[in-house]
Amino acid sequence: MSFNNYEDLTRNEVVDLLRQWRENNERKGEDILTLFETIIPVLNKLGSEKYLILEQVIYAALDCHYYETAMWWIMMLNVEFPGSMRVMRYKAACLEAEEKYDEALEILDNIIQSDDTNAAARKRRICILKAQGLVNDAIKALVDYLKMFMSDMEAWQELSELYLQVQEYSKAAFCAEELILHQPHNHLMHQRLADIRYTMGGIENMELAKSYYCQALKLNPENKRAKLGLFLVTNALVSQYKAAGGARRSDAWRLAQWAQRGAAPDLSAAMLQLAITD
Amino acid sequence: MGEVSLETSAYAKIILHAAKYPHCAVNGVLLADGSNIKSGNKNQDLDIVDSIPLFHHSHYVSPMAEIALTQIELQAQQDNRVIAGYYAACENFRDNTVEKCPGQKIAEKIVEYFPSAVFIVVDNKRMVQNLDTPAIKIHKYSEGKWKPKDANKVLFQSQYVLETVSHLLQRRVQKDLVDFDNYLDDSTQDWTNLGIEKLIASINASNAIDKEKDSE
Repeated sequence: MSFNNYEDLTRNEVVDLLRQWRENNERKGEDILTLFETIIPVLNKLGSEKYLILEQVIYAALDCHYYETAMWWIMMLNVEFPGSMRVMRYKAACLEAEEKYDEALEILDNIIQSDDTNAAARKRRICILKAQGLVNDAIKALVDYLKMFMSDMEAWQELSELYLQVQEYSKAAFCAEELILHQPHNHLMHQRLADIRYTMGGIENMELAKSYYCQALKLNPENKRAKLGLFLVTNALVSQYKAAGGARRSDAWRLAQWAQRGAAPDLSAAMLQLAITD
Repeated sequence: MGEVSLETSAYAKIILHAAKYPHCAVNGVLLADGSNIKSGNKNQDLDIVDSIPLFHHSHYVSPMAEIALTQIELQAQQDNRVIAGYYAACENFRDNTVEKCPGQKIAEKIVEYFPSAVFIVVDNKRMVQNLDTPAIKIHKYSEGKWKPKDANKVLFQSQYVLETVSHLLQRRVQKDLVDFDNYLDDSTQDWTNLGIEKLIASINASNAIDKEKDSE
């Protein structure tokens, strides 16, 4: 979706679009700011959605490095909610964007001290560690965070990516498994775990990757990455089992044929290059 | 020997890819013109004519990278080009070295098949809308490590490269760039970015006409 011509949207459509981006966690800094300009006149009529939009705009402004704009809107929120920890978090985010990490950490530590259960402030601390390039410290802090807040999907996802960055594949796989436990019907989670298992290599991991790719395809038959992944895995398995013989090889072989037919037809030339023929 | 020159469209696509996903690490491969290349030699003169943007997420898992490289190899053979390098930009603004870039294994694989391959790291600090210096650093592989090559001397085929790319950034052309991840999500997209190549060709053509007018 690309609304290249924003003038065509009515104000209600703009509000809906902003809501959609909010729910999908999309990071479109410049577009949000442009759209926001058009709805400033009607902001007060939006009720409580006004504050959600303001929060979205503050983050968008920080993303585009318009610090004064961001501070302006943070002050507006402060006027409506004086002494609020949520607003303090935005102040800390503003300092973080300006790379004044020590001051930001101070504010966040104050928030955490006054409210032990404030998950968002803890997560921002971890973001600051990551921004400073201290990946190992970020991992440690994130692991401690997850001991307290085990059902935070976003955090498990971030931890999985951090582990991949430092090449701890088995720990990354563990995090990906946690994600599947939380969202067993999400095909992307299965596909991600399968990707990690494939990267790890070795027959058992290949078998696991194969079953996760199959599950992802069951949940969403159009998942191209799962189709291609299944093709790669089955080919790898067929060549592994060449020495052995018997049931496992013919199973893998049949699945490979199915994957080759099912996966994208336009890639067929490339696939033939990779494919193992008997 | 060992001269590396970049075409406008190759450089432009690298910068546009990095600009499209400022909050992610991005990577891609470089294609060189295959006419004078002899595959086993190190230190050949390379003329990098194109770059293919690959991924902006899931850098550390390999299956899609294998598929992408196979497909690009096939396409490159048809066009008489060679996969001659790899480029990457780091997620963190301050990381500008080879070690912090994603996908180093891909780069090592490329060097195995093509010893003169280059590794281009996008210099985050020099990515601005009005480029006055090239925002990249080129590295060559020697003795198991990527060593920076002749810092500050990046050869471009056209003298208008920086202006052209600045112009593209200001017009937000990066929104139309398609990388392999976009192609995997939607197979109607064109990962060879012919549209952007045509745009760059037309800008180059009008620059050439202006240059002739100026010299008259």
